[in-house]
Amino acid sequence: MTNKATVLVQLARAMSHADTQRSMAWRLCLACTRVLGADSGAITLAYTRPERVTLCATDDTAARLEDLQDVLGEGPGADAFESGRAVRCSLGDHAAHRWSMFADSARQAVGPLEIHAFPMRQGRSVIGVLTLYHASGHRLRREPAEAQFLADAVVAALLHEPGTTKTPSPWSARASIDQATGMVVAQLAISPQDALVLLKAHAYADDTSLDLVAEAVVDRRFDFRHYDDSFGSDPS
Amino acid sequence: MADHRTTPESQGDARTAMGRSFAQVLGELAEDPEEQPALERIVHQAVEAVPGCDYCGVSLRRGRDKVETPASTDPLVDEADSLQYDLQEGPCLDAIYVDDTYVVDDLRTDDRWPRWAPRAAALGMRSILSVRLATTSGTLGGLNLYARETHAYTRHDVDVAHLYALHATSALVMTQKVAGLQTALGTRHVIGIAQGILMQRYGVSKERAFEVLRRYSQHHNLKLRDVAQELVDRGSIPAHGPAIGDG
Repeated sequence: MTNKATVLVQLARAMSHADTQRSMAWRLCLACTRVLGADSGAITLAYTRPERVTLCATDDTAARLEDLQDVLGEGPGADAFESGRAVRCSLGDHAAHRWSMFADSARQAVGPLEIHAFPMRQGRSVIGVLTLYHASGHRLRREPAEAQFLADAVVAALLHEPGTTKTPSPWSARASIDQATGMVVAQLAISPQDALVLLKAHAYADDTSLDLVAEAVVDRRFDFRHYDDSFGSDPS
Repeated sequence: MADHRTTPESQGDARTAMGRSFAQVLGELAEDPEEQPALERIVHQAVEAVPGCDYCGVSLRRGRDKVETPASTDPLVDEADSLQYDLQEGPCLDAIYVDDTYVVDDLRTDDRWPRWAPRAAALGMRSILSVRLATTSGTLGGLNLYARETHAYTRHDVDVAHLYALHATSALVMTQKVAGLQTALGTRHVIGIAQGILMQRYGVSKERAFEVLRRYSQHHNLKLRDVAQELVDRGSIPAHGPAIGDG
């Protein structure tokens, strides 16, 4: 049975224990992870759009899986964002996946995890996805409807937070990706869309993250005009 | 509906019933991600929610001194509101800037807006109910209910309009916040790409690249986002000279 008041109280309590130096988004993410009994979680806005940004990932596993979905352009988060419905995925399950590339890469990277992706909704808009990760064989501590309620409550909390709608600097990880995109645009005279695809392809080919590729480009350690020469070299 | 106005209890029941249907309206209103559809719903629902109302419009503040009517149920409302904005006189404006509620029983004899009232009456308007749409942080605009009959609005209707305005305001605020967030994300994104283009082309740091964009936008009185978008779309902004390469 759905008990919205109870989960809200639990969320508030969990938030009060989180490090107040951190951003609201980070504290919300960590609190949701704790309330729902997950091992880790992430909040990503505009999931499948060019302006996508991961506001928080509570550990490396969550960060890696958000990045992998970004690079491959598929996965439970993307589906939750596009459909507006919660999506569950079991990486340990060798049955056919809708996103076989993501499932295979993810399983290799982090092992047989369970993934729960909840669209963060305001009315009919989906502004992002709250994704929870946990070891297979375990379950989330609350009902899916309650978890969905929390995801929507996160939206309300973020929208009421004054810093959210300003152009902020804490999102500098994504800023590097945007800047790297612009540099590749100038290097190769291609569109930003194509430039981003190239960056993602390189991240996947080198089994590294989009963040690290972007960092290498921005630091000028990697230039796509010399791609043939530097193909296969590790940009990190 | 006329029966519900008789006793205090029946008014309380009516208010509860209204509260429930308002919650439904709020739920429906909150379903629209964009402002325009939300406003359309608000004005059409208002005509149904307030007995006696024939036409409805929402006036919204755009900036500190400008007001416009982005949604209405009839062109007559657009005309009546435009007249108010041109003459700088009328209940829509007063509901925003002066008091939060205005009731007009007969436009032909009301002397509060001597230049506007006769012209609105000539359009066929007789009764008006204007209520403010406001949050604790400020006034968004007003909800304006026009009627062809005189004395169309009762005390009960004023209460209903206030309750309605409260719900409509909440829905509008959330709609605007979502739009604000999406804009902020897009702005950050395009500025980042523009920075990267400058970083590559001129070999400058991201801080210097940002400074170039910022200075250009100030110098030419353009929005930073628009300068960035221009650079991304066209591949250039008009020559900035040797300053870009400094440092």
